[in-house]
Amino acid sequence: MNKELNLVQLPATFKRPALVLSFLLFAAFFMVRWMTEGTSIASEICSKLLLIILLVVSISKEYQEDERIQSIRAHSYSLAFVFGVLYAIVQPYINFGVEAILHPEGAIYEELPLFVILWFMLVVQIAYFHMLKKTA
Amino acid sequence: MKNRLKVERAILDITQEELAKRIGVSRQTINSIEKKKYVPSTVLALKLAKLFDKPVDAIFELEEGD
Repeated sequence: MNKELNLVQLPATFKRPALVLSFLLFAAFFMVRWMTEGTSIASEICSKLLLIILLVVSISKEYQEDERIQSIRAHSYSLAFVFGVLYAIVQPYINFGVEAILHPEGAIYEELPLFVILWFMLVVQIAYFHMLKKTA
Repeated sequence: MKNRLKVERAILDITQEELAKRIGVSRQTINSIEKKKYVPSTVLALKLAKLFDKPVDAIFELEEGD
């Protein structure tokens, strides 16, 4: 199974630059959204790039990738998957509820965009992986 | 799972870092095993047993609830 894992993993050297780039892209994404007041081609590009960079962070190996790290990684992916599904189900109702309180006449139920769900899953995976690495 | 890793390491007078290097894992992994936070795989347990020249069950022991 480790051989299959190695096929989809990147060398550890990718991790740090990708992490820095993800913070920059995250800031750029919100800047673009704020400046254009909504979706635009620039924000679409930023969001897709952000997903790719977060995926690079997620699949980059550690400098010393041993069985404990692989076990922690597997745990973090399973947790991210469960939280991602729950987030996709619950969050639209929370958004609708808040919208209904703030603007009772114009509240509409909207599903979350795919980008937001994938972004959430990747962030949960990366954060949980780092937390477990320090504590487990 | 109880283990005698720290004791065996003390007998050989080696640090966590040295032990980690000898069996090809990180120092944090050795530390986690010693603190009973991580249960090693069979392969890693066998490697440790071989290094300490003892049977696996002399190093690792099941506890109640395992």
